[in-house]
Amino acid sequence: MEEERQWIIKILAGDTACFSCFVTKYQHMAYMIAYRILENREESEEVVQDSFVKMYHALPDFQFGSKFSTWFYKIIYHTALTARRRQSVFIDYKEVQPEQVSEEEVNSASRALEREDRKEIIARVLNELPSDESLLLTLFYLEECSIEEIYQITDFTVSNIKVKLFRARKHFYEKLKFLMKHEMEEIL
Amino acid sequence: MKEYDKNIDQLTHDLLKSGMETPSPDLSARIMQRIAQEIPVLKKTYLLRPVSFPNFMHLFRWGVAGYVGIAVFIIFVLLNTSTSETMTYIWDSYKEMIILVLIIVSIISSIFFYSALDRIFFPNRN
Repeated sequence: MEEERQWIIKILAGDTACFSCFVTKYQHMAYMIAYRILENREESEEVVQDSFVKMYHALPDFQFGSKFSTWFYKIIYHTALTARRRQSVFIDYKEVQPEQVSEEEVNSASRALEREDRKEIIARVLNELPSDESLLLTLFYLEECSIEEIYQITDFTVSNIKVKLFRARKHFYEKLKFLMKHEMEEIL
Repeated sequence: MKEYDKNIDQLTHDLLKSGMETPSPDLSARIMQRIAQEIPVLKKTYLLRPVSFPNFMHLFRWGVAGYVGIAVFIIFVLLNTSTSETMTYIWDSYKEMIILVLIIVSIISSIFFYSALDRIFFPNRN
C-alpha cells in the first residue's frame, strides 16, 4: 500500500511515466477479471485499457479508504459489466449435475493434469462455468481477496458470495472431472 | 475437515494459477500510449482551514436573522424614498408579496452560496 501511495504522489506531481508501475503490477489481474466476465480476448483488453484510463483520472480522489487493489478491481468489474451489456453474443453455459467429489479424486485429477495442455484444460473448465462463478474463483483463490473485499468489488451480498463460492468450487471440480473422464478412468 | 478444506483451497489456487489467461505482450504499451494522450491529472489543492474561521453554514444559520433584518430595512427605505405615485400604487398593491419574495430569495440564495463555499473549502468535512 505504501508503494502505491508513493506512485500516486509522483503521478499527481506530474510524473506520468510512473503510471507504468501500476500497469505492470495490475494488468494481468485486470485482464483476468475482464476475461472472466467477457470471455473475449479483444474486448477484455479494451476494457482493461478503459479501466486504467478511468483509474488514472480518479487518482486525485482516491483517499486510501480501502485497499488500492479493491478499488481498482471494482472499476474493472463495472467497466466489464457495461461492456458485456453491449455484447451481442451470449454464451450458453452447460449445467453439470452436482455430484460428490472426494479429495482423492481431486488429487488424482491434479496429477493427471501435469501435462502441457493443463493450462488449456483449466481455461476450458473456467470458460464453461457461469461468469460470476469463474470471477469469484479468480478473486478468491488467485488474488486471495477476502469475502469483504469481494463484496466491495462486486454487487453481490456477503451471503451470496459465500454460496456462489461454494457452488463455484464444486462446479469447477465437477467440470474438471467431466473433462478429464477419459484420462482418469484408469486412475479411478 | 479443516485440513481437507485447506488442501482443497491450496489445490484450487494452484490449478487456477496454472490456467491463468494472459493478455497480449503489447497490452501494457497500449495502455501507456492511451495514458500519454490523456490530460495530466493534477493534485487537487485544498485551502487549509484557518484555525479560528468557522464553517460557512454556521455563519449562514446565525445570519438568517440578519438577512431578514436587511430585507426589512430595504423595504423601509423603499417606503420612505419612493416619491412617484406609480411606485406607491405598486407598493401598496404588492407589498406583502414583495416582502415575502425578498426574504425567501435571500435565504435560498444564501443556502446555496454558503454550502458551495463549504464544499470548495472544506471538502473532507462530514
